[in-house]
Amino acid sequence: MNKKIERPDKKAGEIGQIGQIGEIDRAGCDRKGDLISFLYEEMSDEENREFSRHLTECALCADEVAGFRRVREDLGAWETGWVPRTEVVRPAGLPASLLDKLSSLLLLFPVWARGMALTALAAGLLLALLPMGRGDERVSPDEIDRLVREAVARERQQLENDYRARTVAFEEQSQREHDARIEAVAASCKANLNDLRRSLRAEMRHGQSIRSYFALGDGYDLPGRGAGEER
Amino acid sequence: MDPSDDQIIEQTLGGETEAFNLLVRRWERQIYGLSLRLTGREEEARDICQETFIAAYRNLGKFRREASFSSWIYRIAINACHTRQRRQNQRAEIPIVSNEEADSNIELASDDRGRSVPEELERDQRARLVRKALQALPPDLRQVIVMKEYQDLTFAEIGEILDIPVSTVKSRLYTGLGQMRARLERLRGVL
Repeated sequence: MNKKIERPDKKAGEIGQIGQIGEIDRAGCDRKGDLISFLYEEMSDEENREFSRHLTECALCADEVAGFRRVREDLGAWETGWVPRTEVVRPAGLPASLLDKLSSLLLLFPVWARGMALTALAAGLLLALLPMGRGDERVSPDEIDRLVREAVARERQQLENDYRARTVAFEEQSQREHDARIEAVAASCKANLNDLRRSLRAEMRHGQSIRSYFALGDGYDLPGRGAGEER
Repeated sequence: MDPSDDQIIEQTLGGETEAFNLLVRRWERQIYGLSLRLTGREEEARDICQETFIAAYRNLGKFRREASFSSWIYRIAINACHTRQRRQNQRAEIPIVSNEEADSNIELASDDRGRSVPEELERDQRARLVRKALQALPPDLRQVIVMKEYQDLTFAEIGEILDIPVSTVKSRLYTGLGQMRARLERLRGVL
């Protein structure tokens, strides 16, 4: 169903002021707004019929509609494919009030970022609690900072290694699928060729004189010719 | 029956944090697609997608129901794209992605939809040309083309999101498609 058209305001200077590439001199016909509405089917049925009639009379608009439709077909070739997942997760065991405080910081990040953040948090808490059980042994803030940084760096390295391994596995899988697809196409072509050869042989059996086709060189014996027969 | 966006927002604001996941599931494909087509980079699109939902979650209480949730979240995503663009410009980086990176993006993006190998190759080739032509457009023209072609928004919705009149949406589409046509023809001529 067509959508309601919104008539373009004919403000001077709005159209055609950006860039030079692709600009067309539209002297004699200034129905760009209608052309775009027609192209995207945002016109009433009546307006659509009227503009369709216009296209039979205006070569410029007709050419642009055809050209823009080709552009739209080309634009359709760019697909996004898979989309990465974003997730809000509530970790079990955390009281709601604490969760609310942490949620904006942690919970909307991807898994790897949450892993790093939680590791850093855990390491920080552990190191902060260490002095309590050691009597006089105190860890300076700098030392805590260094240890946390090291823990985060280790975790980051581990995550990067995992990511690289997954990437390699993905590439290998893609390559295997690609090879399988090529092989399937090759097998299909080969099967078609064999069908063609079989049908040609059948025709030869029916006395058709198309021996030149056997220049395909498949080593088939010509039907009706004995081993000692001359060519 | 699936809850509406407004119902999910109410649930989230009422303390059901997990309810927000429904909104994420519902809109992540569109937001990622928009970001990818505007930036041309998968990695950047992923980041923008994350930032968009984080910002939406944090500011959910400020969301006014005058506009739809979709318009609101698209606006957040577009602002995130602008912010990144500005940062890149300040660092004097060229925002346009390299051919190699873009090609790899497109290869990753294409998937098997029952097409033959020659059809896939031809489609990949067209996708590369489209990406180049699209990335070469001025951002304001690229925005409206992406929103119209890939997000399937109406002129009025695009106008609302970008806060521009419908007539401007149309004029940008007209100019953008004209430039795309010329660039695509030129790129095909080079091949």
